[in-house]
Amino acid sequence: MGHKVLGLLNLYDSPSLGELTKKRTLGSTSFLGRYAIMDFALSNFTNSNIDEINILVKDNYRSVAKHIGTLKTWVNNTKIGRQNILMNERGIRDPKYNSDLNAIRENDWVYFEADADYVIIAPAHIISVIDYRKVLEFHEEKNADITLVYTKIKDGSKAFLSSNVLEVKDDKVVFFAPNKGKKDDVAVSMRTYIMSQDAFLKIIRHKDYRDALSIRMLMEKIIASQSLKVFGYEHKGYVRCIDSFEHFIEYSFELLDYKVATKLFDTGAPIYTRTHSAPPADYGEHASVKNCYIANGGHLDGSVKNSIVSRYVVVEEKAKIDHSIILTQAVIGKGVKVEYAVVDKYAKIYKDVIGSKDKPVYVAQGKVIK
Amino acid sequence: MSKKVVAMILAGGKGSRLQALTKKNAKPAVTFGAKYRIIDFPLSNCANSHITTVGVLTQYESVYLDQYIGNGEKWGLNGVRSLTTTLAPRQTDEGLSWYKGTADAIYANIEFMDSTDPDYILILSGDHIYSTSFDEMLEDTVENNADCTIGVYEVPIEEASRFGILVADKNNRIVEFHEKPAHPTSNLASMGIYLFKYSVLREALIKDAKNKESSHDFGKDVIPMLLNSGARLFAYKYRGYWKDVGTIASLHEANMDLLDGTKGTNLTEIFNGLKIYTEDQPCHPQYIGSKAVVEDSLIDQGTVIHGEVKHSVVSRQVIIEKGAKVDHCVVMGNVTIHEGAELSYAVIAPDVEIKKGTKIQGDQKHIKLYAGEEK
Repeated sequence: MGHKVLGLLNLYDSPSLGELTKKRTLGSTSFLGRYAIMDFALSNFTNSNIDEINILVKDNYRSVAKHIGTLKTWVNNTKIGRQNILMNERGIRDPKYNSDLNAIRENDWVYFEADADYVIIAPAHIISVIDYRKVLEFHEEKNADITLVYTKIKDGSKAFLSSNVLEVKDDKVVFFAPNKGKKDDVAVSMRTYIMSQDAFLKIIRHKDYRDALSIRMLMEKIIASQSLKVFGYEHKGYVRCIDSFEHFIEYSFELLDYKVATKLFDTGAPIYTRTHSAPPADYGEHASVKNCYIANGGHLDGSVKNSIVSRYVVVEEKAKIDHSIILTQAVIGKGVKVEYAVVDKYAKIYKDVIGSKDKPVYVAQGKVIK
Repeated sequence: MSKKVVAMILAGGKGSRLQALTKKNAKPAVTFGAKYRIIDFPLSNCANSHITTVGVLTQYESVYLDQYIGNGEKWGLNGVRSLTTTLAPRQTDEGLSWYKGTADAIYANIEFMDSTDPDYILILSGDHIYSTSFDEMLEDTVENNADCTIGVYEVPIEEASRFGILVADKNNRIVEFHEKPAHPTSNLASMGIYLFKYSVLREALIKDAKNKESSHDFGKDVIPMLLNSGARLFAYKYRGYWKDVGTIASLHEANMDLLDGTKGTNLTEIFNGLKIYTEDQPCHPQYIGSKAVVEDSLIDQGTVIHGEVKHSVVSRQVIIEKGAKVDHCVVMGNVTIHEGAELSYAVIAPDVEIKKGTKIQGDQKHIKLYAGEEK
């Protein structure tokens, strides 16, 4: 009810996770055994009653389309709800031109059709559970042109290095610059913006901003010139910015502390994902599983500790897995040791793979190690 | 499949021998195998046989079941040329009536069947555990020019008197049929799966409905009537895993059958290489704590295990606290088992809480059912 809001999931705004994102977008990268990273952002739209969801995709469309299907998983009403995967066709021919802002400009038909009251732009890689209805209330109350969602962190020298730090005075954003990691106690941008569709269209077409290539650049320009009223909404829940292979591993393992996990999963806002109709996980007689997330469909008959295991993984007898992330349909052979490793989908491991805490090993999709 | 097969699934029974599990829930909606409802099996079988029109006959406590079946989307039975619907008893011009028997339930929906223009009608039970495709059964039916093919299962002869027993000749043509015979002469038990030529079924149902002596049951009335009239009835021997989970003990046993090392069966074998489709629930992957023990078990998503689980089947969003022990149990969804509770050889109904230190201990021969106070 109330306002018509258009959600834009911005997969252009996707830092590299190294080898993991070579053949897939960050958004469709597996997380915690069961999810794709973008499930969190998509579920935030769903749980905020946003029916029209558009996904801006820069590359690896295949992997996005495969996960999304018809997107019915995330819309409340399958007739009223709409979903589009938006590509920048001109941008494919000219990579320099292929930015989120240009993709938005290219796909202006979406806004003509949607005729929404508000537009929310959010990335996939900043994981949080957030109710946009509250952000919208704030936006209206402040009579803002743009509301930017930020959070306060205590490890700014290590986290959110791919994002911006900001300063807020009387809820207004007065300073906005790339996070150079100089301070730990900082307010950082969650790269999530709300504005009215009218304002949004004016901004993306405005001559002053024509040379802005990305939304981030656009925001930097707007805030620097103080040409529009940009307000900051502080989000106080659990927020993690998955912007590197190392952070992917660190934040995955952090959630093995169930107290931390409840901050994501016990909020009353469910995280939706595509069903795979996998049978329950099958633990064999020799299984020993401690401190793990295990997805359905697998068969575990070895020892698995401090690890995350995706769907349909087979862990054979006497295999020993520790501090590792095993993705869908991988096989860990009999008696094999896997430590500090990220084993990508369909890989088969018949020889020990040992990494270290500081240098985890990555095993590519489909690779057979024997 | 060149012949159009429409499936009619009988899902109206109460299943009173499942005691408290079916007090507020129809038997086909009872949880099975951690993640499934019993009715997921016949519905997935239809999906895996490319049958796209399915009527589900509901009666007892039908609200949840109707809701669960919906438009068949959970089993992919909502495609462009598909139709899935529940068919509950209703008020008609002739008055108001309940389904009086299996045949009466199908008879009451003749108009529905007519509207789907079938060559064959496949009649299934909503409460059997088996995973198959009916393609071969249909091929046989067409090849034999059968009026009806009955799915049969070889049972131990000493148990045969509990079933409808068929005697077939070497071409599988049925020559005798006895409902629960005292002295069985064959071990071919009817599975309650009938694949009828629709024209034959339609005529037989109308005739049966007019018969005041009839109890309007396929096994007791319709099949014997057709056999006496010389209809071409054939037996189709089903060789995979099949179980009617009518009692707490058989429900427990069938769940245990899914685990490796039990009687040579396991989930992969019982599923017969096919997928069983079911409802998807948004919950996190299962979390196994650092002190937990999980052995020889099936665990569904959303569970949190800190205790000890051995040889058990545990459904979604179950919480097993530290020090709790679960052995040879079937734990249904959304159950919390508090610290120090010890459960063995038990079936735990959904949505219950097992208090700290509670002991529920059955044994192989006496499976306990705990349906507690609702949360």
